[in-house]
Amino acid sequence: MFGLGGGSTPQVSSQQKLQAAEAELDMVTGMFNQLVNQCHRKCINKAYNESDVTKQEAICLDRCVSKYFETNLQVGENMQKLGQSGAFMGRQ
Amino acid sequence: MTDSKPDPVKTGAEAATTTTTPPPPDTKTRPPKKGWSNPALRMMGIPRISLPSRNWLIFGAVVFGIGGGIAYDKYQQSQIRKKYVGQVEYLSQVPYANQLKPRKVTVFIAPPPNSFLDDSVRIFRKFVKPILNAAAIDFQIVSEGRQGEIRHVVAKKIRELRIAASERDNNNNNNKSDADKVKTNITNGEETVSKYDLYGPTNVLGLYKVFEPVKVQSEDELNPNEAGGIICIGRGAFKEYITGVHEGLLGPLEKPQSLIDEENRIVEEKQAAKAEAEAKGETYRSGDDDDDDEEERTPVTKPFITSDKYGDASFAPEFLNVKTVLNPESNIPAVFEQPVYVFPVPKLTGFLKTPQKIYRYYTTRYLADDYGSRTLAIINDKIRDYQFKDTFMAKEEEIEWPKKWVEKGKEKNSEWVQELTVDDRVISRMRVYDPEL
Repeated sequence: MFGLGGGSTPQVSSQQKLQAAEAELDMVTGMFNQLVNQCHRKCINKAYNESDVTKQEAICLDRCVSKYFETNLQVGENMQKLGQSGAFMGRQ
Repeated sequence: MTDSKPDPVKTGAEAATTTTTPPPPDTKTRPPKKGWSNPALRMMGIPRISLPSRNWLIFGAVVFGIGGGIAYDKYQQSQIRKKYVGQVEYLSQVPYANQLKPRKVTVFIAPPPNSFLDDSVRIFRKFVKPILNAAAIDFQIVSEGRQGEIRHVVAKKIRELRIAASERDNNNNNNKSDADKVKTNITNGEETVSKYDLYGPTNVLGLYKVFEPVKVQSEDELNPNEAGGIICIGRGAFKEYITGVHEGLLGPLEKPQSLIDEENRIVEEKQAAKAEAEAKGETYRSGDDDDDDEEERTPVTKPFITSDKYGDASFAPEFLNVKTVLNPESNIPAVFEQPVYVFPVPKLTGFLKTPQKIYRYYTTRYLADDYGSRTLAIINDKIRDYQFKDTFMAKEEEIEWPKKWVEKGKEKNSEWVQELTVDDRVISRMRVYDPEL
């Protein structure tokens, strides 16, 4: 107030924004690492006979990644809906 | 029966008196079973080895006969699958550049008459899909829940291509080059251009100054002659596909006025019936609707052109001088330029056909072998031009269609039960897979 509080409000909000951005980055990185792990485990032949990716593995990776993203999106949407309705974890 | 064993607590004299009466011969017990025995086996607790009784033998023979037949058939099926998978596996083991996308076939699946989509999907999943997967061929499935959906999808795709092509032609006539595509807005007398049209993220990121951005290409655009492929599961799907291609190439681009009028009329009639029923205080149910959500689904669009008018119609003028029509964005040949193949869905209906059904169930391995070799022809691109006889591909399936269903279809003017009509101008552009090549 009187020129003291006025400046602090945007300061806090920008910090919050930064935190939100960091959280977002963490989430995206986490998801990406998960995706790489999962699709590697599922698609890549562990014998490593070939230094390059074979056609079979390429097609498997394509499908794996697109499936993962789609599932992620669906789950996210549903969770958001649940959170909004307040019915998450048995809370009514 | 008296106790023949001497009680250890009793004295010897008493025991002697009790054991004097021998047990009366039991007439009810059977004579000891015949069979082979050996003291060593007896010591191990196996009194004798013999065949089970007659009834057990019959029971066992029936159970093992039925079960063994099924198991043998399943085992042979898996062996056949392995055989074909092994034949195409070399295609999928090649090192693959990561900017390439493999060949992609489109699979149209229609449910057999009076049955569910599952039956057709099972044919695809069991006999075709494993081999496609082993050959690293991608596929996209288009299935239908109601008659006419496949036809509509195919026709719509072709119409969109035609509209895009005619727009391109117009642009060329107006001497518009690609550079003029950048949209300009005139505000306050100044000409401004949206910044998204000028540069994208790749232009700003320094990384792409060092590395060329990877451009993803499909194998289908590199090799348009053998690109893609259309697989129809079921004669109905094939009929709808061919009708759809004709509708797209010969039919008008816009929905004809007569069709719009008819649709409006049907909607009005339905609403009128509903209002009438509600006035009477009943819940409205239209005659042929089984599901509750059926009412909310919009009906499948009727064909823009019927088969009897093919002769009068003119062939799509946009494609007349084009040798191979390509999708403008992806450069993949359009759907009707890709070769087509159809797998019949053997499906018997009716209680009286039970013996044939059982026979087929026990000999599914022949089907697996047949379909495997056909899939191989698709994978190995055995392509030839469409001939008139190909109109009757998988026609054998129609013999098995239930008669009542066919009659009902004829009443409803269903496109499945009508003869498939083809036009020379259209089929001369089409190609098919032929396993006999």
